[in-house]
Amino acid sequence: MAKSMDIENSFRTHRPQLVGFCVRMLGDRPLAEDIVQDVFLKACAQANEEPSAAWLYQCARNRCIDHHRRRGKWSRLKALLGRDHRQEGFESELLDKEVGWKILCSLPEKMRAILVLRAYVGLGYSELAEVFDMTTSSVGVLLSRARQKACTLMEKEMQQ
Amino acid sequence: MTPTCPNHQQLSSFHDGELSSVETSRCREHLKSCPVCRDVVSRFAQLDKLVTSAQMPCPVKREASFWQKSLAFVATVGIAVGLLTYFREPPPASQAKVYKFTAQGEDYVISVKGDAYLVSMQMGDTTTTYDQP
Repeated sequence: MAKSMDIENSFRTHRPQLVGFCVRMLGDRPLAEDIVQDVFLKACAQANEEPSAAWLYQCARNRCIDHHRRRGKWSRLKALLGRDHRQEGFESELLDKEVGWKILCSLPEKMRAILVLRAYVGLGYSELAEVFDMTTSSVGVLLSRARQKACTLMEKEMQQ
Repeated sequence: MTPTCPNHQQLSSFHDGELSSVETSRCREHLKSCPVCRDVVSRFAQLDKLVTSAQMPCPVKREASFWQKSLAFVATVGIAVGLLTYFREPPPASQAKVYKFTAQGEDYVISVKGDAYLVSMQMGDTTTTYDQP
């Protein structure tokens, strides 16, 4: 009973941001919601106590990677990016959101995941280290590289 | 960036608040006097904002091309014709009208098709059939 309450609490606390994370990894909200549901089902089946945020994001990330592997890696996202989605009269805010999306799609999976988990979810270095199974100093290096690459892409996008 | 500037990773960690207190104050002091490093850190903040607000682009409804419109028109006409053909009433069977009467003690039965021609005429027991045009 206590275990199911823990999972329920965890579901309520982490679900919105887990879905947001998966949406940014997959570009598909219904699929992201399915994956988050799977993650909590796995948590119910395996965990003996309330699962940590790091465990949940690690599990969600693995599911997203599995999905990309099954779907021929990034082919779907590349197809998405290949299209011209812009329309005259769009609000600049919406274009900013699209720029953010384009930058994320252009990054390798690991860099994208770490940027989203840091900026959107707000995980600290120690939690990120747990998610990516690396040391905190490696997290710093990976984040710095991801930012360097993303900033270059951002400048290119802004110039266009 | 000058040799005295913190490296990219240090600036990134500073942005995340993951530097030690000594390194943080050193970095903060440096940023006061270095516009290049300030620019780098402000870009991190801008990037965070973009990542947080990233949204899938909405698919734009495109105007159908001439060929798509033509194809749609032909398909619509085809379907309409098909439905009309299928559901229209079958043509009435062309049956001959039969008139029976008695004249001068004789019974007559006359079959007339449409208004145009005589099909057969029966007088008593004798039936005469006429060729149809």
